[in-house]
Amino acid sequence: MPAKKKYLTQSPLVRLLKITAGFFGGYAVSVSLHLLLARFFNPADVLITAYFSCIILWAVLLLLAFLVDKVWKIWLIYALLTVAFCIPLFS
Amino acid sequence: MNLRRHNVYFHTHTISGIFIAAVLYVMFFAGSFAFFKDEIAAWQNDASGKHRPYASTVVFNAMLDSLDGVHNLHGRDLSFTMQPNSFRAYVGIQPSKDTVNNDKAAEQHFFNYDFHKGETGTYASSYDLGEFLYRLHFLAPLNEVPIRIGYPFGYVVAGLVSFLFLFALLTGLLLHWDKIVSNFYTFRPWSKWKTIWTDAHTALGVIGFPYQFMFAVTGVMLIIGSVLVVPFSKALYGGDEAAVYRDLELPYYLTPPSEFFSKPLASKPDIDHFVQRTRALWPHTFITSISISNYGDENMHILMTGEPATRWRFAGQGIVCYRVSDGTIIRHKPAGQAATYLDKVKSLVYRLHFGDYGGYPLKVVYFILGLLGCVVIITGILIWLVARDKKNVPRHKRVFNFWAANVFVAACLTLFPVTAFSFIAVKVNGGGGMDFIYRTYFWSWLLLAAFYVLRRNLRQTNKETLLLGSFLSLLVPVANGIYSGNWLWVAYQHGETDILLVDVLWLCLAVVGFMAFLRIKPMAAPRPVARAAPRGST
Repeated sequence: MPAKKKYLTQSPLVRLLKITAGFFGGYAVSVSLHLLLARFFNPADVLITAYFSCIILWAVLLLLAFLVDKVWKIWLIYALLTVAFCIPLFS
Repeated sequence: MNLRRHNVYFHTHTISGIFIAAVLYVMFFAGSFAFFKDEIAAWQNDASGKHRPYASTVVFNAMLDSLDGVHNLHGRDLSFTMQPNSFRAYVGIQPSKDTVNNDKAAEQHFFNYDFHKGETGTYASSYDLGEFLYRLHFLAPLNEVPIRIGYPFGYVVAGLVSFLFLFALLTGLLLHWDKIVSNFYTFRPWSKWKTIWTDAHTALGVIGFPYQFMFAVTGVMLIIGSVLVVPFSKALYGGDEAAVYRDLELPYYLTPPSEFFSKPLASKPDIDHFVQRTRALWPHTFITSISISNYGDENMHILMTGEPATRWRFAGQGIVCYRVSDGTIIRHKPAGQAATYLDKVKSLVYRLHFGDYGGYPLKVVYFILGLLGCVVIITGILIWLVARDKKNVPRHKRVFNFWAANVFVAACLTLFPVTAFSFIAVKVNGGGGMDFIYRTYFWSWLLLAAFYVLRRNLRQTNKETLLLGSFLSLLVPVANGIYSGNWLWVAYQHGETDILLVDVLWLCLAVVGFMAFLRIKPMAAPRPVARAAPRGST
């Protein structure tokens, strides 16, 4: 009883876009969020916390990319979040 | 239940799981043994760490004298990384900053030193099965595959597999979330194969979930911490990764002041004196590293780090730095007291992963949970295979599925006999460096796995590896008795619990293995999985 196909992404391109959005986009969002936190708290403390939180968040974001129905939405959301988190780093 | 979500969890769980299954099995299997890395080293070398007082054995002055005679230590930075629960240290000797008076200034050396035997060994010659299984569990041997991607290949694979493992755990949990309580109590061993495997996979997966989740998360960070450290160093430390590690207070990166005055010390430095002072400062603490700068110079410093015994404190790395010329302490953070947030979380990462905070009982529990992880992986592969062994699945797909499962199962299940065989081999051989262990382990693994791949019968693979593994397990304590004279009762009488533990562990594996073998029923054989595939499986 493999998963029912009708609920899964059919197009290989869309599937690839979802995987890359989740893997790379999820990584970018998670890391940039922690870099942002390091602006407000002691960087070493944030980094050691990130040893747990950043990895778990990354895995959750990878999963979210598969759950969202439209792939452009997830690319847009992850890109916007990453940019938003990074702004304070360069200001 | 949201059907779409449920199917997405199902599919992503299946794909990520089957993708990593074989490699993850190796990591779990070798990793379970790696909890006993030090005990296995003691077992192989027949050198128990149990009845030799540490303080009188680890003596630096005599060692440094002899090193000085050979390498001329003047003006060098030295580092000693002590191996926990043993008398061994990795030693690093840096080039001398005194290029005028030191004729060997440019030389650099790294080696292992055994304080008990007073022997120097290269890394490869001091290599033992404990080290091998430890390094195999994060795929270090794969680093020698000539694929250059800017980071050791084996570590990248290990990191990626750990991360996908975390992902598979999350999706697996969500997949079973609605029925998690009822599934927990469901086991139908008299049903058809797929039900048995599904029940075992689910029940053991749920029981082991917290344990496996913790290993996936800490494992990712311990093997590819760079995924975090690199962006942090680029964004906040101007690209200086060493500075990041220094802020994390990793012992190797904590170094004493390094400026070289080029003025010799009045008297010969007495390192043991400083070691004794540190021991007095920090009760119940194991000195993990000693870093010496500018040996024999006016500006010579010694920095030591220590981890408190876990019976006493869970966290709290101690740091102390002495100026040798007048003996003043220029930096001190007491071990075990006033542990910082950093100390606590860092201890969580390391101690949870290494399972070194509760003595042998905890390690044994970890070991069993680790092997249960292996069972979850194997049942996962079998579910994947059986679920696709249907008439409506095209033949070429069924053949491919069978071969994938055949190769995976052969490669995984042969690890048990191969590991037992290697334990016997190092005893018969009277020791074994890196070369010997690599050759023994990997060749026997390749041959045995290839045999079962060609045999194309999963059931036979399972039965025979179980029987062979159990038989070899039984021989492990015997080999120790014959070749080292250290029979179980001898080790027991001498209080060598570390050596005894390894023997007893293998004995238990043998007993459990035989029992499992005997309970494999000559059941009405499972349907042939793919028509082309099995020979004699009916």
